[in-house]
Amino acid sequence: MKISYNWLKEYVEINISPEKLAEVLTMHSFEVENIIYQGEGLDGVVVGEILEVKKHSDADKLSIAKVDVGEKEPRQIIFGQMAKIEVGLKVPVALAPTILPGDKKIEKSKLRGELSEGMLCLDQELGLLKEGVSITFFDKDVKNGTLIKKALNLDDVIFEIDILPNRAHDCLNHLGVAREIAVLLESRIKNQESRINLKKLKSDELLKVKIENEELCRRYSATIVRNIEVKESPRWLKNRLESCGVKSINNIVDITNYVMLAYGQPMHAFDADKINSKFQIPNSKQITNSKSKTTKIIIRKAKKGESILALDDETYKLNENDLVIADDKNPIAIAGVMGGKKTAVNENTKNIIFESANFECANIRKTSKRLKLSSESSYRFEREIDPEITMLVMMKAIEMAGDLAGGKVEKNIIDIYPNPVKKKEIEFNFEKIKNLLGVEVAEKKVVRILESLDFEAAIKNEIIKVKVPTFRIDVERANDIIEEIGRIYGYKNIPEIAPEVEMKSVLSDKMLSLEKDLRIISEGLGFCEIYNYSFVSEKDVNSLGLKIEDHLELQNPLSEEHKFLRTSILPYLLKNVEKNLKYKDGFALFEMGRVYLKNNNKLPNEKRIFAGVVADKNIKDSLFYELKGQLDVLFSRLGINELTYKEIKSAESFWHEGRSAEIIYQNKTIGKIGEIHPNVSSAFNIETRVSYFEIYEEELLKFYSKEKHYQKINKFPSVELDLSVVFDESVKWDDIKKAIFGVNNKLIKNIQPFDIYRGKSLGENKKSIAFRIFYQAEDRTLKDEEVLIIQDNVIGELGKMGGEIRK
Amino acid sequence: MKNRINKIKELALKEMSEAKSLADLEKLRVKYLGRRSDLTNVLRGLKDLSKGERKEIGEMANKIKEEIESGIRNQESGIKKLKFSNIESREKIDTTYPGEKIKKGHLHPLTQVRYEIEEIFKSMGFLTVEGREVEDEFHNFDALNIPKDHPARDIWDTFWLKDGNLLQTHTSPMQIRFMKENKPPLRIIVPGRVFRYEASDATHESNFYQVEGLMVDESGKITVANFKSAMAEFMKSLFKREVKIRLRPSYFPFVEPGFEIDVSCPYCDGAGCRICKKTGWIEILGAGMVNQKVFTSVGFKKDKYEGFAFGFGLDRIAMIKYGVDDVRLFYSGDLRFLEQF
Repeated sequence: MKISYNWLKEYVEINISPEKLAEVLTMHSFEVENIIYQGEGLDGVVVGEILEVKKHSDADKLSIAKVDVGEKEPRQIIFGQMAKIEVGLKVPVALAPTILPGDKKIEKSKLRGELSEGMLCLDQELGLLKEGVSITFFDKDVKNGTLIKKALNLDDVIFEIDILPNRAHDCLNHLGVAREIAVLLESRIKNQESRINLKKLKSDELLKVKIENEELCRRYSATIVRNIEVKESPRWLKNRLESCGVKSINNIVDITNYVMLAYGQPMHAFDADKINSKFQIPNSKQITNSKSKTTKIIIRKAKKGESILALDDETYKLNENDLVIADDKNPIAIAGVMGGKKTAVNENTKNIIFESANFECANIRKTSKRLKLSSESSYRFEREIDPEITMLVMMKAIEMAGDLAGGKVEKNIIDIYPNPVKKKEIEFNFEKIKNLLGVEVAEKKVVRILESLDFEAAIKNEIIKVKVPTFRIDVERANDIIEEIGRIYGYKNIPEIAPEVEMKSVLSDKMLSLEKDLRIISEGLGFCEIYNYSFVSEKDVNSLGLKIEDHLELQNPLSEEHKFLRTSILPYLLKNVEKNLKYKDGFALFEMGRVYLKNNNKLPNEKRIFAGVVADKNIKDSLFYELKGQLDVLFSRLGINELTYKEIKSAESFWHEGRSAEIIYQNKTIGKIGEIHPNVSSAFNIETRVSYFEIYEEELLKFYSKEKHYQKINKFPSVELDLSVVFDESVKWDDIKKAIFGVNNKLIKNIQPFDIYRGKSLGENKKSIAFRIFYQAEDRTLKDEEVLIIQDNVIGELGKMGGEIRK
Repeated sequence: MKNRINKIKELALKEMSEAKSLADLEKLRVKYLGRRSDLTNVLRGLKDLSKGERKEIGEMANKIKEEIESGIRNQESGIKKLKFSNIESREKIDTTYPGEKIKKGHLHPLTQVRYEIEEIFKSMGFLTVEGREVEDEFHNFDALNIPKDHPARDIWDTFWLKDGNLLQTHTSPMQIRFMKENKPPLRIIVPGRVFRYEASDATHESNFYQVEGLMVDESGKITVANFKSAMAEFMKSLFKREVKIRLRPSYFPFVEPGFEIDVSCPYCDGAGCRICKKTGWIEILGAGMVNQKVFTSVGFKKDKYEGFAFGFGLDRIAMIKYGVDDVRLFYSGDLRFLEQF
């Protein structure tokens, strides 16, 4: 909220600089986010009187003025057509050379042969108005040459303060902030009592108020002010409102806004003559004999089908949960949110009804949210305010209406307040203060702090009893009170003391250890880690051939791109590939993240996926085996060896079926690896082949063990024999391996393929695989004859599979 | 006979000196010392000579044999030495020429900062756990004392799912889930992905990372003073220098009192610079003493326990540590950025 330094000074003595004040508030109360010095950059702008205006002889759109700026000689200034300038007007003049807000330099210069010694300034050029085009005219009695800062009273300092929800009850206004300052500067709030004092009545012959829903309208104070003159507000009032970011409308509306910014109580003014009553408000002479002619105001829930044209010129459809202010027939305001257009105060208004009420917060919030209609008033009511303050604010408004609009209150203030709030009482062990803050605060100091905050405090037998002022709605429990003590005492005065704790070793979560290992190994293998969004678009889903109905949908996506939660890491990885291929020929990427799978309307199954891609423009062939080799290293580092690979049997259509496999370990699918179907990658504008893997971490975790066991080193030499065998293309290496081990799995220790050859000499659909068999015994040196016998048997077995030894 | 022997010696030494390789030398060894060499024949013929001659010739032949043998050895070591002579210039390489290109991997900067933070807290006895990313209203709001229709909810702009669940707006729901399963004393940190319904710009993202912390023990054992100490230790370890912290009052519904923690700017040591916007302080985390309402919502008895909770943005810490000026870079997947880490 924007808080004016000058305004604060009306309520409390401040003897420190604005910067110092901002720091004190920030450290003890709430954060001052920004300090704005009004009039900054306006030191070269004065009030000037137009003495003479003529056309520029050499430019249609320019004129030349002689302006009295309080100097010996008038200045010659060239101006355009943005504002109507006439002789006798007094306007803001920038005297060259000077620098205006926004670093705009004004120099003496010649424009088409004519000298210009300054500039006539529009409001937005002076930083007075954010948008629109306007110019300020000064009264005749303002002396030429007066700094406009002075003439407009732009000598204020504005604090932008972040009032958080817990202090929104009492501090979204100047008095509340002043109260904090008084505590922090050990000063006092100046007397706020009104000079008028009217009788409070439940009703009188002029005005009757009926609250139908007491739980939603906790208090309603209203009064009729007659014979007012609606006009423009004086400059000081405009300044006050504008420096807090509120637009000036007319004196009556401005009064309601002023008291709200001053005391935090939203008010409303109705045009009393437009309220649908049995009669019009009479002139004062008629009052005595008009008992039957009473204005009636009803606070009730809206009826089904009711609607209202509000001050913002929009019509709102109301429902039975919305609270309204109504006359005999129709709603005249959405309670606490916005008034109705029909009863709005305008220049023809003669009599008004001031409303100062208290509405229940949650209901206001519901209505405001549903109607998507928020106002300074609803913002405050939503945050709950003290019902005790309606009368003080009403008196202030009446006082101002008298001063600024000549209005008069003939009778009383009607005040319906069915259940007055009581001060909360909280008591707790004094020791608790030390137990929570970790520092001993003396009893005297505690009481002094609390009393300065308007709490009543008494300590007896180690028990502290506290009475909370009604405006401190946020204070409910002992800890709230201790917070008050702590922040005023100063958090900087609390020492740093290490906690006393049991010495315990910290065991790491197994899944998080696995993820850390996967990351570190991948990094070692040359993969670069990526973080992508959790969201995907419908287009992504379709491009991958996934089903849109399997995806959780957002109610309020930021864009079409981010409308669904991902069920696969792949789409964004493909986008990463496409993007990076513009800069690099080849790379390997991985991401570790969650996918979100529907789970029968319960919270979704968040599956942890470790996925990666490799792509390389310079490699025309598949990168499948490179990727598989990298995964082999990765798995073996995790203690997982001897994986098997099986054709993918799933509905996912983004795989290149001839070049993809499920990764199986101990009969469980722990992941998939393969090439992405070129149709899919080209949908992502990738021309290169892309190989991809995804590992299901929850599955992998079951086998993850970092235990290692030493195996004795075999000291007997091994015999290595090479074979080159021609097979049909359809024969799989896994089956060849199995057949060979089947011959003698004791002495055959290992089989390593080292070459595959395909060529015309072999015939169609044939491949020649060269491999080396390692023979080794654990108890002796093998004899050549022994090995050759086994090798013959191997050749025989392979023959059964159609394998022919290549000579 | 003597002449013959001298001849052999002369010839042998001459040929030896001309030998260029070890193989040449081996040939000479066979030629002059082998079984069929002249010298061997001479020695073999000694038995036919007179006793006086036998002694004289024998000594002479043996001496020459030794001379040839040592000559071969010398020549051998000479040749061996010659093999590596001048190797420095013959085999000189340009060491400024680049090494082989080895594929280099990179961990994401957020991963690196996260692991660094986890290590610091682990050394302080905090266990790392993770929560969910999709949450229900109860765990994300209600249990944390953020009731429906309360303006405090406006602090968190929320992504809602069509099924009524939501994307967690902070890592705090794990406080609830963890305390439902574990009794104090407890010390955890919870890194996690969180989501805010916010248009992205240089300092805002719709998904980003937070680290939550929670330490709870019996009432009286954990105080604001303890919290200050824990945070000061963490910040010193994180920025690897003697930074200071300060607490400012703030508000989060699940703590009471609530704080904002600033750390003295590690770049200028509090003097004021571009990073800290000339204030000397950097706002780094939100925290407070756990609200008793949170304890009662997980079934703990009111006032039995006290504790502190804190939360901070991992992205923000990474931005400060690495001088990154746009949070969107972390999620750009751009290798030109990521390969810098």
